[in-house]
Amino acid sequence: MNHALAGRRRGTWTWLALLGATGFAWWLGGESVRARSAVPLLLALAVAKGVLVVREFMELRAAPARWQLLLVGWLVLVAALIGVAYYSGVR
Amino acid sequence: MTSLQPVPATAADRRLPGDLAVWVFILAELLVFGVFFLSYAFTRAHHVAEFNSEQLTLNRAAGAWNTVLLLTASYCVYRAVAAARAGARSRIDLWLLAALACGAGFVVVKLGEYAAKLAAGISLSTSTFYMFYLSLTFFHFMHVLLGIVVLGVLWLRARAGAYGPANLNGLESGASYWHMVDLVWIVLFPLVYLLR
Repeated sequence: MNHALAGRRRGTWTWLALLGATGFAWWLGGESVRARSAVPLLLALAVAKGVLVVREFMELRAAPARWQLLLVGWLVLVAALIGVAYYSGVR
Repeated sequence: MTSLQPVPATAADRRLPGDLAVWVFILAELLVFGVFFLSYAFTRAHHVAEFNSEQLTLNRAAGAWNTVLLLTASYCVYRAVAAARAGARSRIDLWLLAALACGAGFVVVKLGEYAAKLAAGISLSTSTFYMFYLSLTFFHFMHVLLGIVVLGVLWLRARAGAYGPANLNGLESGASYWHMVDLVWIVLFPLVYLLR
């Protein structure tokens, strides 16, 4: 298989995984799911989706490692601090 | 081989797609959005009940559809870059056009949401939650509009045959900006519409 075809397939799988994760997150955010228990899962899903976009669509997996580190670091830091804020707000 | 750009064997082979300046701009944008997201999250910690009840008035399905549209636009942009790299010039502008259609879809859904809130008498001064909802999503919305302008320029240039395996810089730069708009929404959607 040539590079171009393999790359297109990889991109298509990435897209499908992102759509699947979005559907799952939408279900998790619905009123039928206990909101508190969904918080860590929703944050983890957002990080996972972000990592896919950064590595695959932005193609940073083939860029100097520090760029991937910066963007994934941003995602993880923001998600972790959002988690801290949510649990500090528990009544 | 399983990759479009095989992962380079040595650090020297690794390259950043597009212009360095665009990536510096992307980092600055991420920093601003990050501060905005955290001010939402920590403000919410002091108004949990208000945020939780008002969040339930948002149209979660519209938010999810907008996520699908942005992700699909990103995929189309990725395919446009892949087509340019493979020298398939005729397909570059088709993928960009598909991305533009998804971007326009996002705008339509978002304007529908705003119109519904406006009709319900909701504005920036209604409550702390709505102030954040409207300003955060509108700030992102402006980035989508700029992204559409960028994609439009790329589309026109692609039609004129500007991009190919030896001329990727402009296309990759614009593509990276669009993916950033998508990346920010990936955090914004669960934060504002789902987490409670």
